[in-house]
Amino acid sequence: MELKPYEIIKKIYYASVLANTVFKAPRTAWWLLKASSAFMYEKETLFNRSNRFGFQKIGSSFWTPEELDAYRHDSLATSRVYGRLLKAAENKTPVVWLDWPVPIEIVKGFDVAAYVPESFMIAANIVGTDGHVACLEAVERAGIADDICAMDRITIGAWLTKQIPPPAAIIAVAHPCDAGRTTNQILEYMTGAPAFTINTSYTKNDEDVMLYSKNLFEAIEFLEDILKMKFNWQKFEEMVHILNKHNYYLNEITAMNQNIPSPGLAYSLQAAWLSKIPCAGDPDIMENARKIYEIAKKSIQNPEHRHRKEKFRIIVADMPIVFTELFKWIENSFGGVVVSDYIGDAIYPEIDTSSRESMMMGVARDRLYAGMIKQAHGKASETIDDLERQISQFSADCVIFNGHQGCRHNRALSRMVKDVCARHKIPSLMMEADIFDKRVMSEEKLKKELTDFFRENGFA
Amino acid sequence: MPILEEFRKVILNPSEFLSPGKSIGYMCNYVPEELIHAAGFTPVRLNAVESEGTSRGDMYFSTGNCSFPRRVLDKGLSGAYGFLDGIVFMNGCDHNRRLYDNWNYAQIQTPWTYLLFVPHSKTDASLNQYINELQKLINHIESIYKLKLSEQKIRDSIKLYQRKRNLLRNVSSFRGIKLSGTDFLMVMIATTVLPPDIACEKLDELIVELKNAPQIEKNLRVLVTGNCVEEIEHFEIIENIGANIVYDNICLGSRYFDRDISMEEEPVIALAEGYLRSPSCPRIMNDTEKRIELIKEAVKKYQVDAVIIEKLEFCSMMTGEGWIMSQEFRKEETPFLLLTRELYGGGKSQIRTRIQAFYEKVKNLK
Repeated sequence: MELKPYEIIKKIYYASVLANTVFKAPRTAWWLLKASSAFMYEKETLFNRSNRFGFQKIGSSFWTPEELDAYRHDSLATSRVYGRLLKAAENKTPVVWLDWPVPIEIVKGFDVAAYVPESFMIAANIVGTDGHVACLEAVERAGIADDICAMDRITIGAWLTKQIPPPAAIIAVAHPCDAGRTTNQILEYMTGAPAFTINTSYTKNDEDVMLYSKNLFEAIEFLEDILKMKFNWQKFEEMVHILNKHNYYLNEITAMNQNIPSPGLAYSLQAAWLSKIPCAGDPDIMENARKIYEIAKKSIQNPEHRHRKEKFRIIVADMPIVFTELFKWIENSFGGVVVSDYIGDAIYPEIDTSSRESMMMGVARDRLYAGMIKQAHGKASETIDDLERQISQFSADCVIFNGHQGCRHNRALSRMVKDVCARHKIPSLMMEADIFDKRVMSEEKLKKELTDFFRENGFA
Repeated sequence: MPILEEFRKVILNPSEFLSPGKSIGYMCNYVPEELIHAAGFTPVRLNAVESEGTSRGDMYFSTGNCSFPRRVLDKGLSGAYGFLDGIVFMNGCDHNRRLYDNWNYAQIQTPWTYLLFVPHSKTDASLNQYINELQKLINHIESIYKLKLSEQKIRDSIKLYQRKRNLLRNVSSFRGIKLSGTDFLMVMIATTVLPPDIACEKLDELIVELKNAPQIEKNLRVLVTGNCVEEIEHFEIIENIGANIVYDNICLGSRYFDRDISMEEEPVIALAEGYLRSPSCPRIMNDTEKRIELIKEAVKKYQVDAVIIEKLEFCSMMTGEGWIMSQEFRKEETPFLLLTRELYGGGKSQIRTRIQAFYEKVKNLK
């Protein structure tokens, strides 16, 4: 697949604008999705290849009209981010690249466009599942070995295939993994942009979070210096207030997912995680969360309205597969509901808004609690204790561990994960997949492994 | 040289040279040995030398993890590190961070373990973070052994370790003239497990012997760079087919001894500054340019004919760093070979063939 310059971000932008427009009439949108699901959902074909991923990202035909209405706000926020990025590329105005554990608020306090590789990477299949592969192949052609996580290689590939505007500055993070560290150094070298690295902390205790927040203050100074702009503290404060409300709803939805039967909103929480990365502090993503919260509440009050019976409960104890949507497929095919996963599980502490310092500590801590960072940033107990909690709190019947190829620290814990599941007397499936690279394990193979696992353990 | 035989014996059986109950293991160059020594213990660098394989380690790690921690864990499970009184692990990389976790999970009989978090940049905030982490390590050691690590004790240790590093620098300068890179690697491994005073004595003896030693045969002058390189037999391959390793940029080499700790400052601050701001490894960000510059300078200073970039399979850090180096060496027209291997992974003939072909190319370019 040959990518045209900015093809991916253009398509993300136009798809978000389209979703926002169509979802204004959620019932009609729902019927449209339902009608198109016959040829869009089941499997990838030559005819649906370039649109199937986008179709899956908006819930295929499984989201209810209410969920589509909620997602409209998400689309709006997303279109703003990518629209601004496109405009910056066109007008050659500054773009700041930042890693996802860096609170976006410290960039949004400047009047510049922000680019978050992680958000881009997850959406890059918008041009078809070969979108990721095209980026990966560009990296391979450049001679960079595949020892780096595919997630990070896609960012390098995006740069090599001219999918993203050049950075005025890069704000990188040192954690949680080697792949991120090395990729930032490669990008720093390739782009020649000035870079600043933030040492996020390895623990969540106050002392460490304080040091992490000091790094954030330093990063703001660095950006003021590079961009020759002043940081807008008032805007920052407004964003933190929105973040607090946003987190309240996300935490509540997570807690409600524990219900039996579960409202089955893990997929929505995952989508919320994805939009929070580049859009934190945006009132529309808060509104999205609020509406999903209302849906969850209604679902718990009226469980009989759930359109599918919950036969068993699953925890995805690793990063979910990104190039295809599996949660709803499992539910649809086997009645297995993903009640929690590595990414969407939201337990964000409330931010103390009494001072600038406390707010900065708050946003630092907030990102430490974000899925993936939460589990990956310190000792194994950060992941394993979390899994133990999820299994108990969410009354899980089984655990799926994708075994994402590039995730070295997570793969080093496979024995512990297996033992935790054995202790809880629930079966676990340890796969050898990759979250982005379908060449490692195809959609068909993934589905076959899952089917076999469910059958062997009496779930299907 | 007879003294080299003594170093070899240390590698084969380090516990014989250590007082029982007086050794603490550590990982990586960012763990200040001085702090362990000041508490009255010998810091013993963990390595995979004489490890028997990875089969026991593989029960905990996946096959997608680096062979170094898998081998070290295997060694731990075999009881080879039973003589250690404690271990200070470090977040050198993701694989080694998880070595701490798996070591504990496997319930290897080590009285205590500790994970030191070292920042990944050299900024002021990072320095403060590192000072803070070192203080936590001191508190940990003090509470376990009910002792006080006084400023004076730490200063004495700093002085001793500075002497050791200076001696190693001196020995290193004989590389390519009177000492092979292979023997130097052996000296490095041995001196990072020996008590520092004994190491210094032996290094003094070695320097005397080196002064009187004959010159070694002149060959291609090679610089080896990478992270974890500790296989003596690997260096033998590199040198035995027509090269002398005249300098290195590896953990068990110049990155260990190219470091000065100030005696003027408050000792913990001096250690933090000295360790964090000395020549870095790829785990330290925003410092790639300096690292490459350092290697380029070494290439000129030591009249290097070719560079071998060593990378262990699954090492993300060296994948990035190795690629950047390749770009730079290409620009500079410095011949280089990027070699990916498993630690003690066999395939000697293949490696030999690759290096041989590389040397042929370098000779043709000369």
